[in-house]
Amino acid sequence: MNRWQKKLRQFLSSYFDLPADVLLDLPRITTIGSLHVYIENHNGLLKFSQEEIRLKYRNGQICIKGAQFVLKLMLSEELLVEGVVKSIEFIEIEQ
Amino acid sequence: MNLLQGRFLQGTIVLKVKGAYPESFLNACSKHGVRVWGVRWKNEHEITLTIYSKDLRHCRAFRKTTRCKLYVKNKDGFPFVWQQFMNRKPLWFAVLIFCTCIYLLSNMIWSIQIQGLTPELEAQVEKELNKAGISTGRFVFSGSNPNDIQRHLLEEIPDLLWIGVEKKGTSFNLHGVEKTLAEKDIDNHPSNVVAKKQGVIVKMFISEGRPLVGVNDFVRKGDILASGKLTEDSDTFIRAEGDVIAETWYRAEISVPLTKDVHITTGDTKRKYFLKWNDVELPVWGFGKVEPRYKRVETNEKTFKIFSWEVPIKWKATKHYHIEKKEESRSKEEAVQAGVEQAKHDLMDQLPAESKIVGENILHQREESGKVKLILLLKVNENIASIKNVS
Repeated sequence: MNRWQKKLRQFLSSYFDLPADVLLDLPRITTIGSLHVYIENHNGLLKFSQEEIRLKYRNGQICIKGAQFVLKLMLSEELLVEGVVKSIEFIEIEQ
Repeated sequence: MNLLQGRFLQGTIVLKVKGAYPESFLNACSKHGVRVWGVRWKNEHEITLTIYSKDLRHCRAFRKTTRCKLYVKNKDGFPFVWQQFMNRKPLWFAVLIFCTCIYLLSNMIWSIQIQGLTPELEAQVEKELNKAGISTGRFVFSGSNPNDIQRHLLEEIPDLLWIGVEKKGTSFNLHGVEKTLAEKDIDNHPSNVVAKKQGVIVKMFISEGRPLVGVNDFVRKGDILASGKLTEDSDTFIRAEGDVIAETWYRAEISVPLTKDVHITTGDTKRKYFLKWNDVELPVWGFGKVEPRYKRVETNEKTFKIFSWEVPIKWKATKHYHIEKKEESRSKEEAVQAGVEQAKHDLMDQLPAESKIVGENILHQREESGKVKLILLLKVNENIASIKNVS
């Protein structure tokens, strides 16, 4: 995606009030308390351990930290994590 | 989680994945649409996860590209349980034998109890039961119906007045009542022998009393045939008894059609078999509609029993017979013949059994709208004696 396209999509999403995850190809993360994290539209699992999960997305990485992580379900672009979530961090890597 | 529905039916496998970078295995799985759940971290190079057993084949293919080693840790679900069960042939063989044993033993007669009869009669009943296929240790399938047995016993043993047959699970309870012959009470009341009908006497035998008529005499109804008074002027009356066979006449009117309908079973049959559950019939053999020319239907239903419990599934067999309807015309002579036979038959139904038809005359014969009308005179030899008490 070039910059113009990106700009256009951002504009469309804000102007027409369209869901950003669809237009901008960004992950949608839903958490239920600190028990569950449900991530849609990610681009792959980078690291999985009991304390840390790293996922790839378009702009960089998502880093979920906590304890006793278990992947309850894993589909092609969805992920359900169970455990004690402490933080969700976005690490943007500029191309 | 409806995405994981039917886990038990499909069978699941717990896999241990070992490798330098087990996350790559997870990525490969999700990329190829392999459903993965319950992923647990063991250490840096080892995780466990659960997949459907049908996906194991795909997962094996990822081993090389992701440089992981797979170990099957656990199997669960119906396919594996079934496999285990099938591997134990003696077990399911035993289950089969058990079921057949229960079925057979529950259809066996274990005891026969006969009540209310003298020992001789009891032995007779037992003998008859044996003939009908009922004795301890024999199998009784739906063939021997208590009602049929009852009828059979009552027909075969004349001394039985009544017998109740009850099938209680695996035992037969019979409760019989013996016929007691009532003493014929000797009536000493003085009497005459009187004619019941008019006729000409053919034969007479008076065992007690004085005969007043002879052979070939014509008597009317109510005439005294034999008197209890032994002499004309004595006062001693005895009880007169005897048989008097006389020729009597009957008039019969009958009309016989010249054509008659004959239904012939041609021998062309169709069979159908069903399994029946309440009102639902599942055809087992013999499909398609039966043409209407198969008019007569015989239905045979069999039930299966386990102890006294009747299995709700029945076996139903139907046999359809092809019936041809033919209109047969007959000659006048044949019709007359048939009419005479019919008249004789009708008359015999009304007369006592020892009566005999000795001759018939056709008084009048007339043909009218396809029918022959007959007026017959039938001659009958019958006992006309009746005992009438004298007061």
